[in-house]
Amino acid sequence: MQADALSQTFAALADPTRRAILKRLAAGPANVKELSRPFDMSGPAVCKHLRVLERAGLVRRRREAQSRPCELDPAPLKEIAAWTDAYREFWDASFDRLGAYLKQLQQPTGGRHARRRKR
Amino acid sequence: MRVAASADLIDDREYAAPPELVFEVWTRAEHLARWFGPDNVEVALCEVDARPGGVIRLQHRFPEGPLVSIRGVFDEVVAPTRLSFTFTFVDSNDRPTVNAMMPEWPVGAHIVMTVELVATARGTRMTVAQRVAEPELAGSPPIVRHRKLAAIGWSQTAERLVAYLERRTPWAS
Repeated sequence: MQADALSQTFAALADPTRRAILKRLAAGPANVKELSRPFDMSGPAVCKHLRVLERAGLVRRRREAQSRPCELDPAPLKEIAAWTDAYREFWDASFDRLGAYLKQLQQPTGGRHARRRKR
Repeated sequence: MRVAASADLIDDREYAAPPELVFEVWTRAEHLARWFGPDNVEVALCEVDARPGGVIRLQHRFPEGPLVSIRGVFDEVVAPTRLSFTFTFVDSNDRPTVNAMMPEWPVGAHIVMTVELVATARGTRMTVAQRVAEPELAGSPPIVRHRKLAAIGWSQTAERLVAYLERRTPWAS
């Protein structure tokens, strides 16, 4: 994925309403009218959000039906998840290990560092 | 949260250990080498001189081969509550270089890490944040993405959302 496309996906996800729309679409396709109902928003306001999601490649609109239902395309989300993996693995792994290490240091029969700490 | 508003929060968690001990495992090389870094790396070098102006050096060798080295300098060392150091990715001659594991990260960017420790009933609440020192680099796409990531709590959300979407969308590949 191009850096620009990735930024576009992030921009699209930075809004809670758009994330809620994606979550709703995860349950199945819906048209604008159905999407605007739970959000207490006008059709045009929902359309504006949908255009952002479409540009980011997260949402497709079907041409065939008159109501033009929207459906989700999770591919860009998967790319983001892959992109963040290295970063997340570094910190999560480190701080999990730190927790285990602190526990080990505080055990009476812990490692040599724990014994060395005793005065 | 007491960390600067412009910083990206990396982690915020509580440990069942006193702040003095958590501070010590951050500031002594023999401890830091035991936990800091991704899984399955070999710690090729770990030097920590934790006092203002003191140097920190770390080298991680990844199973795939690349060696990632950082060199940093401590800014604040206030036992047992606050620690900050500024580092950059370097080559074997301490010159700024590309991080082989994060190739899009801008070369020469200085990362300011801040660790804050607060005593709690259970032990210690640790807050870790980072920001990029250079204002002109703070706007570069990979760094902006990191910030947005932190802002929407993406590290927790991404996996769940993707898993949820995949389960619910039959057309997903």
